[in-house]
Amino acid sequence: MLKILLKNRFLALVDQFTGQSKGKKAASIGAKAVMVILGILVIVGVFFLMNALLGNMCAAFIQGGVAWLFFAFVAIFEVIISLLLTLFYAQGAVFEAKDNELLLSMPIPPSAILASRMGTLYFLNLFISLATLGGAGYTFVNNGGTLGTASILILALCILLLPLFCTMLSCLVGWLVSFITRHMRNKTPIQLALYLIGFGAFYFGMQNINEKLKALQTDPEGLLQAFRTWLYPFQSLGRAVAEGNFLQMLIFAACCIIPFSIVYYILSASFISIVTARSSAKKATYEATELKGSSVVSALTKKDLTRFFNSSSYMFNAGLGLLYTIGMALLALINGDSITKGLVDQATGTGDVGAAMNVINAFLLSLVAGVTSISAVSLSAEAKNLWILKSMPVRAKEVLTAKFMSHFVLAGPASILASILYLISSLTRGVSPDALSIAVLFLLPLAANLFCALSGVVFNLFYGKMDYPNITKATKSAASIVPMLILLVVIGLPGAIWIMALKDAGLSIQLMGIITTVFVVILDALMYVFLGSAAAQKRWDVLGNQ
Amino acid sequence: MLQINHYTKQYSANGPKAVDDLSLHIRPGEIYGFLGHNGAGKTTTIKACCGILDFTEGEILINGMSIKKQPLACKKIMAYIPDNPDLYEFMSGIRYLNFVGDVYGVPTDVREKHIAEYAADMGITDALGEKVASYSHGMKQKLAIVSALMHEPKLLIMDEPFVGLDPKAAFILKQFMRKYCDNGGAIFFSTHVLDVAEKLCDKIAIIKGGKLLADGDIETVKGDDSLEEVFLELVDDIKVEDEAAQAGEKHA
Repeated sequence: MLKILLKNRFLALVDQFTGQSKGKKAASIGAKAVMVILGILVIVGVFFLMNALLGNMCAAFIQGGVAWLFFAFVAIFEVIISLLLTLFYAQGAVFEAKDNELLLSMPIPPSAILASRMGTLYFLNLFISLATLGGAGYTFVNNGGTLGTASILILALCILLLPLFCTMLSCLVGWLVSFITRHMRNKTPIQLALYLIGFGAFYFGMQNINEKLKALQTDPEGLLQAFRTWLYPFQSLGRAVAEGNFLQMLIFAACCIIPFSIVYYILSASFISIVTARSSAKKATYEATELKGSSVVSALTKKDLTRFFNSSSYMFNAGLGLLYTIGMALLALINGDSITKGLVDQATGTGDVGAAMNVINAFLLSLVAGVTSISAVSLSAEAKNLWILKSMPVRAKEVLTAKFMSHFVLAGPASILASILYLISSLTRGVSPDALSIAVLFLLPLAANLFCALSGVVFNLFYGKMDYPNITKATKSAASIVPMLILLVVIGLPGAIWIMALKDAGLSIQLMGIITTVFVVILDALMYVFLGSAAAQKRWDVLGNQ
Repeated sequence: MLQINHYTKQYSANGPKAVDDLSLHIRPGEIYGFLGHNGAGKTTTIKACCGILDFTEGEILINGMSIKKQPLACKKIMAYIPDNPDLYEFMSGIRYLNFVGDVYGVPTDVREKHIAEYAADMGITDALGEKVASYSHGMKQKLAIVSALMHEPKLLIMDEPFVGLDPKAAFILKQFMRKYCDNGGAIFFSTHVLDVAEKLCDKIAIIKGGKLLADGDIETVKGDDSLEEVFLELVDDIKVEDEAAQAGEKHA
């Protein structure tokens, strides 16, 4: 039974990665082979990346006689990454899966259902483990370390064992999230808060590792003490691999297997009550109020915004750029324009720093605009609701205008606010910018945000999949990245041409900014006109019918 | 009100015809039932009538206007209720209805009146403040029905409208359908419930494998038999098989 369930879960996972979906043929052998090759390429890529990024640190640990610390740090990093990547998958696929009740109605023990779901999660974590711990082994050997047969064997075992710990952690936190949100009428704020906490914890964790590494030179005892106490399992892993120590290996194995078994036992014993629990939130009785009417485009835009603000996953995945935009400008205001200053030096040498600073900030804001991908998945987000718009007397132009407007009404004000913050930042530092650079500071990011909103709709209209089972899958699709890549070219290319050729020809940075702004505005206008064209209408008419 | 002329639908150029040369005429005041097995082509036809699905050959006219050439004008005077109403789950019921009112340009006082009346009939008034995600299948169906009636359409196209409705709501819907058509509206709906079709419909069409087997006044189609007997004979050849068996026995 467990074998059948595991097979089904893996096939669903494979189909998801190979782009196959419900109602279509299962992934072909070719598609599966491509997926395996891509997986191997990703792992090899991570190996090289780790070697490039962590090589020096690894060499320093080896020379300092604390080689085990390298494996311990990588293992901690893996746990953080794993938790961030699989936490919400665990919540959705383990505790809130739509087929839980169907499976429970069949003669299948709940423990087998849970095992199959945790098995899939383990497989995902195993992939992460293979890339990170495997990469650690590669980096270790490549930077003067030696791994004997025993160490290689232990490393292989650790690659298999650490995902057990990660799976246990994801399931535990996933259950907690599911438990907390089940008793709430509006789950979105708490889910978004948890997303942001997780994201913040990731950055904090990375920053903390950095601090700990710095502290290692001044106060090594403090760090080592942590590894002797609450981080002991990671020390065991490090020592087991670096020293080929089988006793430490057994301790680490116990630290993974025992908590996993306990969590599995508890969750499996209470699986039925967990997945069949109903919300205890009291339902409010509707009392009629005066309704307010809107135009068609306004109603459609409000509808799209409501969808955005009611999905924590949509907000987190597609709206992170808004946070970056304002966060980046706030940091510049508080901490100073360290990023910009570096770029100013590189771009202008000892040129007009005052003007350059604002233009470069405009370019930075424009590039960050690409991270916001609200419109890029907005048509895919319709999916099973597409029939509503298709059966209504609305033109494609109205629907598509609402799609890019719902992106721009959020990204536009965020862009203006960030420009204001950057302007204040430059003024408080005694820089007096000229009118042209101020115009670029405000207009270029606005045009770039509009570009992102429009190109997202155009791309989604022509290449978007319309059969995503839920909004989360749509927001995690490649569609959300493409407009960002196009924007990178559109914004980055004029800058690169200026640095390589036009700067020396005497074209000022302000003028380059104005030319880029006009270029982006022209592209915006062309895309806007296209959305109202017969070609867009024709495409809309057949959307979702394939 | 709804005229389907030689409608043919092929999903792929070399594929089989999902619906083949179908012609039907639904007049104002008529409740027209569309019967057939699963996969017979009912939903494909209904979606084409609503302008959701393109078609290969033929013509579909709504109040004399082509759904292909004047889709917006056609959609303004009709409403569609699908078999599985996937509504906007992120909206509350009232917000969904207000959204529909905005799109169809229904004046706010009229939509308030309609919402109050139809939601009360369907028994969903109290739940209008809740998100659609919390609704049961039946409640979503009821909300879809209320939203379809917001703009007073002349033609109602419904795909299995009774699925998921409780007995009271089904009774109210049947009453409403009759009253709606008596006031000049037209209804074209698919159903598997032959009993409902027999009691409610003025005319029926029976489709099998994309081809029309029978259509016309319910009394003409069923004659002295029950609709169930006629349907099974036409669609499943059950009676024909029995007769053949009897003939075989006599011969032996």
